[in-house]
Amino acid sequence: MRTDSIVRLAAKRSQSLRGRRSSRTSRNTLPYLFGILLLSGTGCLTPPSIVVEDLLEPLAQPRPWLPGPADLAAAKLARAALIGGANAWPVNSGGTPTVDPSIELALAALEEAELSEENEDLLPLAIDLRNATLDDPIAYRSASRTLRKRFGIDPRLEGRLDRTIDDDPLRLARRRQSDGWHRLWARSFNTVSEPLGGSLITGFVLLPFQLVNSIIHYFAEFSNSEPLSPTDRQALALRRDFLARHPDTELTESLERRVEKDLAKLEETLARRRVRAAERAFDSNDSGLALHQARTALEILSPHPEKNSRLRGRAAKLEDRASKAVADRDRLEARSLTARRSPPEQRQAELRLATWILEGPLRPNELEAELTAYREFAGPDRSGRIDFIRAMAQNEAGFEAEGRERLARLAGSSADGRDMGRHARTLLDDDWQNPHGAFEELRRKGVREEVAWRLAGEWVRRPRYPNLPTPVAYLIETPTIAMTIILAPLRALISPWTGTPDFQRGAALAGYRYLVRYPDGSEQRPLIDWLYDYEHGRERWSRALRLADLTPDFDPEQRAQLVDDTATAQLERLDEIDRRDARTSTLEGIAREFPDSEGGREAGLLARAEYEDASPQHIRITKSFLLENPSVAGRAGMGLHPGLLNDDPADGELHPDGVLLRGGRLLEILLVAEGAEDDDPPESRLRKISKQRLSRIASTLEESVRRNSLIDVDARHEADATRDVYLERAGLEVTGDADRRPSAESTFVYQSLRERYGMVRGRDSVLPFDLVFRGSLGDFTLGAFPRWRPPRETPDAFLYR
Amino acid sequence: MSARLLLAIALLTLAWLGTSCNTFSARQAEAEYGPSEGILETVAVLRRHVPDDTYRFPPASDFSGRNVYRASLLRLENLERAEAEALRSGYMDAVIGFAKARALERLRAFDLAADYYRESARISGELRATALESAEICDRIDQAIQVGLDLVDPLAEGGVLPLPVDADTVRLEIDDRTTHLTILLEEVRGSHYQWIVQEEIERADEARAGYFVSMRAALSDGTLLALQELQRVATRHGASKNRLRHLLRLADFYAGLAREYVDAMPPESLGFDPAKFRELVDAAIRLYELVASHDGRPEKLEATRSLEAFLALTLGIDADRFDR
Repeated sequence: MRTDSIVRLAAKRSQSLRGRRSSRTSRNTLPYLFGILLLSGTGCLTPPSIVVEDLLEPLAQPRPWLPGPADLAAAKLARAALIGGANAWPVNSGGTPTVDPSIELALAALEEAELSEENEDLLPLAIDLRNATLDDPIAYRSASRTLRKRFGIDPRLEGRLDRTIDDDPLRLARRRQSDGWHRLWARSFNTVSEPLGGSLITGFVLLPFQLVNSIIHYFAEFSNSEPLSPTDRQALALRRDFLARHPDTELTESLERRVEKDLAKLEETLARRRVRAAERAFDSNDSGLALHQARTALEILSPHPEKNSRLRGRAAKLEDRASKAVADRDRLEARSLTARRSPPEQRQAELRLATWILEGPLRPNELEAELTAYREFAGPDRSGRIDFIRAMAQNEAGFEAEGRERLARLAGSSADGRDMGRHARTLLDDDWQNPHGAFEELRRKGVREEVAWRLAGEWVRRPRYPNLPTPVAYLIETPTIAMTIILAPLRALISPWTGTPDFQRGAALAGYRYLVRYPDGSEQRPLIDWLYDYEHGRERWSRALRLADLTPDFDPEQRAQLVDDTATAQLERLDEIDRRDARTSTLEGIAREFPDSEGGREAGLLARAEYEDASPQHIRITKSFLLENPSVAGRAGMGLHPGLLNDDPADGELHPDGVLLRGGRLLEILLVAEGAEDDDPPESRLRKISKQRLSRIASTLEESVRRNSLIDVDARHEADATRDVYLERAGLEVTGDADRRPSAESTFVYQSLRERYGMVRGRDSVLPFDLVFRGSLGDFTLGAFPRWRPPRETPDAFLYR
Repeated sequence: MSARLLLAIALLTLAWLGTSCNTFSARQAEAEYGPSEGILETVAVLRRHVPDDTYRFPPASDFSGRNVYRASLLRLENLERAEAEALRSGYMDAVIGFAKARALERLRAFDLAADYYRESARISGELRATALESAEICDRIDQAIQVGLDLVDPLAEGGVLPLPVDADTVRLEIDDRTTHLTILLEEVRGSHYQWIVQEEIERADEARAGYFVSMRAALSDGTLLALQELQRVATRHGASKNRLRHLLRLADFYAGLAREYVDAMPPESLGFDPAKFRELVDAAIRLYELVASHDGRPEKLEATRSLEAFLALTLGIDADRFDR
């Protein structure tokens, strides 16, 4: 999480205050006087805040503490557990390992010892330690299950045991499989409930149609299913993992059978994907890729030759067809390189012309004599060559538009078409050789696509069921597509708010390519104008500005506005940058590039604030977090003066922003300023603290976060490597030399649960479904229905696709 | 149902609600462990993972995603400071030292682990025998891994020393290290040190392969030697948790060679040999696809993306010279 820099905030605030002040001067001051009087009247009710300098208390002094019998018994148990184990002891009659007797003895001694109030959780923890020495995950899980049933165990231990019990690969595998069934049930339920609930207002007039439509989609959706779903693949991986870890259990045989069955299904899933990819590649004339995919499919299916015979046949056929297509393609390519001899009477003319072309640059004026001479010998059949040479000459002489037109005529003509027409077509179709042609083509394509998209929405791209035959897939979607077309005007009306895909991106790219390739090209001016409109329309100010600078006589006022917009847009992206050096560099760049704009000025101020605020670390602990975790603020941790946290401004108060670990041993304490409120900018006090204090802060912070995380999943903090490195070093008291690299800086903020989630945290409903209220402009229905919630994907689900 | 029974049920329900609707703060306040409890908890978590086979399977993580051995070590360090007063009497010193040593030996800090073992042996008679035995094993591992070349930090502040040119000496030294470790492996078979020693042997093999990969331009037949070494690591450690990583390294090597070949012999040039290039490409693709077919492993993603990136290289090659 990124902190807002205090100084930056202060700079912004003072700036906005200045702005507000200047606007106020012209107004009537009477209401303000009245307000001041009122404020001073009420202000007397609360004491004014003051700033105190007594901020830190001395660290707690060690007090004599002697371990009781229970502590000594616990230490003995720990020693026994660390050196003993189940490995050396035979399994019992039930087949489970037994615990080393010395550990049992130590535990018995602890059970007999009198437990003080401080040690009331010692016994369950000791039992857990005894269980940990079983040296067998299955036995440990089983023992943890028994311990978990014990009444009144600590929430931290509860959480840990729950995780241990849940971390059973077989149990998880079953859960993943049930997720698959759960998902199917949710889909079935929603297939009926949505049309039913959606027809309430229309009096069920449309119900039969909606229900049938929904059921058709339900069945069509099965075409997207695979033999082994991602959740089943998770289950398979878990079972294989279990077998690898525990090869000799009573479940091994049945598990191996199960795994073998699922492996065949997995092969079918992967091979089917390959076969479909091969079919698509074959349809798009990419026979080489089709051949590779078909062969890979066959290779995937090879471990189980007795299974998936239909799929194997399909892949084999594809391999055969693709091999033939590749052979045909190779033959044609080889043929295209064969040379034909010219008639003997033309050879001399051809030789002269070829020599002349290769000798030097082609100039259109000097061409005619040579070309006429060639035409006399070659006859009209060779006019294509003459046109091609003329087009080349025009292109080289800077008349690229004329050359292009000539090539286009040649490409479309039949005379000499077999020889030279194909070369002309290749030149015209090549995006790099003919960027203007590409621009025109892509622009027209973009317009076509946009019209189609405005009319039929996303349906123009592909139907939802790509595995069904295309006509069937479109037939199923017909009602939805029809409704989309009817609603096209409405979508067009609201499109400024909903956004439109960029259909002209390709055209713009080709346009820029033309500008670079033909700096003196005849199409430069119209292309710059088009590109300016395009970039301006998409609010890409910096690009529009560069294009404006290429335009002579561009309106200066419009340019100034563009400069301002560019600087502001770059400033807006600043918050996305975490590293202070990158931020500063960006700010300096803006200030240097746009010095006369308001944005440039603001960037300069912010860059200065960044310099002044720079420190090796920027880890903030809010006041609310300190209140929620008194051990961090207290004498065992930071040792903050208690008066700073008592909500009494009369004896000094910590600002809600809290304290900052600035790197090294520097602690910045942010206080509510003299006579100010919590919302006002804080007053800062810097203190260089001792190694011991910093080490305690790190330790108590770590302990508190760990404890909270074990009790409540929501209390967990995001990972932050640079924060952890700093705190680890602080804990080890090795922060003497601060690491000043910007990449080593952490801007993490420790916030309380209330700050992170508000007064009431959003909770998952206990109901298995959500109540959905939905109004549809598509069919003018309004309804309410329960939508069954499918199970959530596990965080590692993306590794099983 | 009698009114009394109903009343009892209502009261019980109220009582249940009262106890179950605990606020976070209340639960947080409840969850304050005393010093012995904190240590016992950490030792239990660590002890549960001491016998883990970390050679074949990835090391366990705690709830925050940290390596369980590192988390335990940090936890013990934190407890020492947070419970400094209680621990001043020293009743847990031997336990803490021994537990730290158990964690440190899994983090490759064998010298530190040996020191902590010796310290706990000095304090506790109960731990003495095991601690001294462990200290000796840690010492021997530490001495073994000092022999020969090791993988180096490429970003080390003092810079990286140049690699020795005498490949035979390097190979002999690393083999010497492996021999020491293999002898030790036989002695510690059956204990958790078996996995630690196997990890070190794997690392020695990786260091050897890394040397030949780095030196392939300086040695005669260097490319062939590097390839052999990478294949050796992949085959010798087929049971390791890092087996997919070894295969990926091999695939990357083939892909790198293909790139180098294209740089040296542009596909449109007359010297380009499609058959040679195809051989390299096929090997890289086969390995990437093999790794990408392993569900649930992060290497799967890496292989998928690397394959895509590698295939992009072939897009610029004429269709008649390379069949995409």
